Amino acid sequence: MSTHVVPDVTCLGCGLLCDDVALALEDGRIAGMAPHCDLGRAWFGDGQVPARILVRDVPASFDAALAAAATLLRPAEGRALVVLGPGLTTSAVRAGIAIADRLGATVDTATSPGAAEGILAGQRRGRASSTLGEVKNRADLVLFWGADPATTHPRFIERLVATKGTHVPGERTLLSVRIGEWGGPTAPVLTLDEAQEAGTLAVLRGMVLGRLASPPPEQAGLATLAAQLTAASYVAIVAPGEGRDARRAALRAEGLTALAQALNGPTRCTLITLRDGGNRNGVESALSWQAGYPFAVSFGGGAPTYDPGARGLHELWRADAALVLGDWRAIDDSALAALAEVPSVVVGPRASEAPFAPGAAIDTGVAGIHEGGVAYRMDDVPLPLTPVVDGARTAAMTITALAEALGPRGAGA
Amino acid sequence: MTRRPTVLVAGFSARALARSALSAGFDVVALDGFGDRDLLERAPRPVAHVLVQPFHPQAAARLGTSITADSLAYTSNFENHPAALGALQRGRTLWGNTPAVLRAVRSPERVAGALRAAGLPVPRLCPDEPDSSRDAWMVKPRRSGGGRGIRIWTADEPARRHEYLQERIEGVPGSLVFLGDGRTALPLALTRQVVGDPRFGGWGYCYVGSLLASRRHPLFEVQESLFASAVAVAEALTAGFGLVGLNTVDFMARDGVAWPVEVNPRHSASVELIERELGTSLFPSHVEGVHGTATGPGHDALGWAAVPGKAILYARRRLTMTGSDALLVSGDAADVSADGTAIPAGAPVCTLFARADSGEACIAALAARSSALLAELGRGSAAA
Repeated sequence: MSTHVVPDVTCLGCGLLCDDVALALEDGRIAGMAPHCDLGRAWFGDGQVPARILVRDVPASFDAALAAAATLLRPAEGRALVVLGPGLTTSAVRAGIAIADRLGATVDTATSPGAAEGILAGQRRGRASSTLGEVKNRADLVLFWGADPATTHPRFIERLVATKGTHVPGERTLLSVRIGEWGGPTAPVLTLDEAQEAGTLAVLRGMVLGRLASPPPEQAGLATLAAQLTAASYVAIVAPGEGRDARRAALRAEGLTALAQALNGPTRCTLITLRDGGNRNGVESALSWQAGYPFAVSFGGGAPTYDPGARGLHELWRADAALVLGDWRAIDDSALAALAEVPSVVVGPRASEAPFAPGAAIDTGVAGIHEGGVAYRMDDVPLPLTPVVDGARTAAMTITALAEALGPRGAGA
Repeated sequence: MTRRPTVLVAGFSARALARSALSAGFDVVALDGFGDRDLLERAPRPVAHVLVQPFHPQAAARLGTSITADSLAYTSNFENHPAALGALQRGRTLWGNTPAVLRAVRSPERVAGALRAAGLPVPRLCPDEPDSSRDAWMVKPRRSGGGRGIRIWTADEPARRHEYLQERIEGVPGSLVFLGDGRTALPLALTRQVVGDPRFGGWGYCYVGSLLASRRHPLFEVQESLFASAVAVAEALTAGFGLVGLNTVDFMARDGVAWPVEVNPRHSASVELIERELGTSLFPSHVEGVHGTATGPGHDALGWAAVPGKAILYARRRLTMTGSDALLVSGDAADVSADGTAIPAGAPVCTLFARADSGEACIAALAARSSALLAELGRGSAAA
């Protein structure tokens, strides 16, 4: 049995993208991880992924699968959907965007409704944010707003909070506001139900700005919190960045953004939203710098257009064919069911296990496990990825080959 | 993710309500009689704007039927035209009080009856010609709006068919903004109204502006008692008429008692003062109220640290709009029309905002700004 350790691996198990991970390999399989993290361990697994190529559920050659995929996608020019899922390097994402452009397709991403609302709130009113490094080195007060990093980003506290900051002379103050079932790492200074959240944020902002005075006794806790926030030198607000409830997420994003902006008068404040991993931020970044918009982009008109209210996966009736790139397991059940009704091609990790009977499926490796490149952390900082174990063909290479098989726009449409 | 709903926002001036919906993340189609720059040019922008000039709810309803939108939210003066609202509502979800509720709550007789039944003070209504030797009466249009057309009754000028007589209550005009869920009312702000002030081009009883009252800076005598009285009125109206979403009840304040004189069962001019202070849109609260949950922001309705106020500036003579760029970036003006827009005498020029440590100081700041702006516009109009 051969055993060795690979140091400084970047983990895409959550949006934190810890790049100090050491993986123990035994006979080409991932056998251990240090420091331990449940999400990281689940992300890496044993490093084994299927390496099949299927055409209509029958094993096929790589070239035959590419030809079948091109034949299926070409007639859908102008009415195709390209899904950019997680598990892709940014190079693979770029290649996928090129195909979307080539097909005049609509692009959907793994951006959750909650994350989308956060992005839209930033587009409406701007945003006070920073890198995670700035949180680590400057924040003397960290407010966890309905966020429980122990569950969603297990090493957040260890890496950014329970560590010495270069500009934090004393102990950091950690405060938690519990919202519904979501508490924080400390006993809550406030407990709210979800319906109270947006209003409470507005009142807190009013207090921070000095617009509300003499709070009634029932709001004494809120007034104390406002005083603590304004007295700090540097506040980091840490909040959930994902979620399925778009309406609640929109109100939360609006309220938190406004609060962070208000705090940038009396002190400095950054808003950190906890995004999921898999290079979701990388997809949004690549789309932003290639198409101008982070998600819900359509190339149908010959130039990119943006319709954030319409997400392609939930309007599959508009599509004549779908190309799913990346890990299809991020797609929700209703969209998976709808995909079964549309001719489709899947390229990515575990493509051959897709339950919606794609016309062609090509398994690839996973970004940061089998495939090197770049992925974006949840604060939009790009980090290098190195392959750890051998896997199937890379997604970047496969998607690029598919683009070549499709030929130029109009070819065979 | 489902497609986000598009809201049709309709009214005489849609700017404040449309901005409220836009900043809450809704897609908006706006329909109004102005198309002000701060409605159309600020981001996020409405999906579309339909101009109805001169604005009339029936004309708006006719044009609005061809607009694609999932929901409808409305502001003044649809409360006086429930049939037009019914036509505009067809095929959409109504985010506001229904036409049937409007018909009921805009009836002075039914409002007086409901409040009397709840044991609350209410000005008397005069069914016939009053005795000129006793009592004082106000003549009010049944389709009143912005205080226009209201006058003191005299024997020489009796009430006409579309008007009614309401007991004249001496006092200070004010209002309570509240959120209804069909059963209970949540107070959002107590305001003192500015009426007919000539410094803003006002006349008679026309609505000119509002100031937010607070415990720290009371704007009424016996204010706590007045607030409780106004809240009781709002609760009785909400329970009696099933009011939902944002509503306002206007009153005359006398000796710590709110004497209700009119119900505005829709988004009103005072709402944006609250939104500006809290830095949040009340539109989601409005929608939740319509759906039967009135939680609101949860702020103390009398908790303001200063006295924020707004005033609508009216043209005393015909003016031509100039300097709209500067007004747009000033942060203390809204409802700004494009340069070159002709503003007839008596029409609104724009809305101004101020904040001060007392009601008097706030009014003075608004008046100073108004005076400077009118002088500037006067010079510009003369030059044009």
